[in-house]
Amino acid sequence: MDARLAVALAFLALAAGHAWADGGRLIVTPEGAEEPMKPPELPFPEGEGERFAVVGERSLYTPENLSDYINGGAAFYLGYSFEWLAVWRLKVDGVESEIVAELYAFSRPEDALGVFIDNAALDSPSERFERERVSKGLCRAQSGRAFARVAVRDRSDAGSDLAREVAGLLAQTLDERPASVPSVVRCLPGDGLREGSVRYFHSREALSSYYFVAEDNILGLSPETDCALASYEQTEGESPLRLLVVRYPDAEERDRAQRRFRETYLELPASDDPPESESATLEGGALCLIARSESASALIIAFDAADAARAESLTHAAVDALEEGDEP
Amino acid sequence: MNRPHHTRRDFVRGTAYGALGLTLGMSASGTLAQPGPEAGRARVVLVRRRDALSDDPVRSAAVVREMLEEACGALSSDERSSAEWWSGAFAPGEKVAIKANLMMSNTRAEVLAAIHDCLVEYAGTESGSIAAWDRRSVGFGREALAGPKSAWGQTPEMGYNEDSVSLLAADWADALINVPSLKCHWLSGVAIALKNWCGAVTNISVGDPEDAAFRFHGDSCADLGMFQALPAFGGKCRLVVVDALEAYYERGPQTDPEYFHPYGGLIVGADAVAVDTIGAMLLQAIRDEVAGEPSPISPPPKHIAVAESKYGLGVSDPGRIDLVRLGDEDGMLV
Repeated sequence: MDARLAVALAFLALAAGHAWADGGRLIVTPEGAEEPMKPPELPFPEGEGERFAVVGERSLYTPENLSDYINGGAAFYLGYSFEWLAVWRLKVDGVESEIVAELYAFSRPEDALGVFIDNAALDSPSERFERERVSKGLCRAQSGRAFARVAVRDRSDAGSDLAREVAGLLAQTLDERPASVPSVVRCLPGDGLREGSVRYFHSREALSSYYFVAEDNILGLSPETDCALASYEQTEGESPLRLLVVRYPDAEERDRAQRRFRETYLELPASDDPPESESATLEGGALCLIARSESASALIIAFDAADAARAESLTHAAVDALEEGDEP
Repeated sequence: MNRPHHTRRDFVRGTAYGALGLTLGMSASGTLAQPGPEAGRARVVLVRRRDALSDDPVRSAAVVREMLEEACGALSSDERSSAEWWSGAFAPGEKVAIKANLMMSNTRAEVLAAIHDCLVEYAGTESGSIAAWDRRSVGFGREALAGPKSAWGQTPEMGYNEDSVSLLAADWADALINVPSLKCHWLSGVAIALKNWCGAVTNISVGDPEDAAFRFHGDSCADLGMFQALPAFGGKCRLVVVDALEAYYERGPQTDPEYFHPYGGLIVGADAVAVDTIGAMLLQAIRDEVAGEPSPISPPPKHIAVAESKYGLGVSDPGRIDLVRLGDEDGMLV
């Protein structure tokens, strides 16, 4: 970045809100928003008598170079409001392999929550973080805009204890306000909901990795769309019913997506004025139902439903909850 | 080339990506394709031993070596031994580079050591002429291959040429062996042999910017076959050995220890597309087994079928793959 431009941008940013610079990259938040998270200084006690020794320098990754660290996995984080990732490698007395401690920062706390529940239940209590899950040497945790991930190669309880201990050191560096649960998640009905199945995301790539709908972006997903997906029990041994909630920035985008979905996926004749709710029985007898929330600019879709009444009940409950949640 | 744009319904109908599409857990019929014609077939060996995952590393290494020997002995349809296969595939004096996985799901040292030992003992390769690498990290010789990968480092061979291809593969090596781990991947469905070359190039980024050397991340990484089509990779690669000792059946590349399945297998072949086809079928079977219900790989790993249809690189139709199953049948799953 041109130095004069950087100075001018920094001045403007500071005048407008908050900013910090890293490696020539300016991270700015608008006036009124929370101050952006900064990568913490060394949070690990080290030196003589301490158990931990940090190996090498802290590595810092931004959206521009996150691929260098996790290759295609970077797209997962970039699908959220990812700002930076700080990585420390640690050696611990008596442990052969290195511990990798990662701290991810997002501009939206809901996105850090989304990353956490990619692989954990929304209700994962923690004393140090907002949410935390520790298993087989891996600790994943979320607080506000921060998502922490600490991996120890040892999959025993001792490995889990170590991961928990290192994550605790990271937790000490965080001073985050709790994330609010997004409305698309809050509206999901509880009846028959599979534990740990709720996901929150924005991108078509994320949806495809959870539940493949189509190669094209027929639902018009983008960084501006809020999406939740959850699984609901049906008959034992059968695939679950999937309930997808997509909230669009406005009614126009929602309507475009609805028309595209019903023509491309439900294979129904084109219509400029599709009904508020309709369904189609697909191959193998499974039913797909789509419903529209007018006031919330949202689509709610039930996939793989074995029973029409159940699909209707779930989608309509989600529509009602979304619309009630939006009431002042 | 324009490809049709499929929805989930096309997979359920069995009309997406031919016979491979039928195996990915969404098809209503859910069965393997019928045996195909004799011409254009591939041979893949799947060997499985439960004791490959022994707590005793010496025992585990010995079992993996036996598995590799069995598999290579079965690679050709005639009665060749493993020794004959290796000495026929590699000449003394050649430099051999093994493309391993160093990232989130590692290729196991036992597998690299077994390959090294077969090369030395049967093909007359010098130990120092055997390298294993991923990205900018390389190890030479038995001690490095059998030891912790944290000891690997950078050497002058580890740069990239003007085409952004690994110098080790393009210039140093006479022959390559592709040794990925078996895993699902959130962006491409699976990441096995065809995707393993991503760690042998530079100047790539998930956004596929205009100035990237290789742009392949879009459309669920459909064009991953572009790497196998490069003379520096596919032109030199003589063997694929998939480390399926522990299969990662959830959404990689970042791994969660909860989702490793102790399979105890190796998938071996010369056709990377066919090997990936069997690998994808195995991952699908593991997912279904663990979930106790259909659990389709998402997104569907279309790059395997595209590698055949667009790049002409091998066989993605399970009906045209002669799968040789060896070892423990219980829990083989495919």
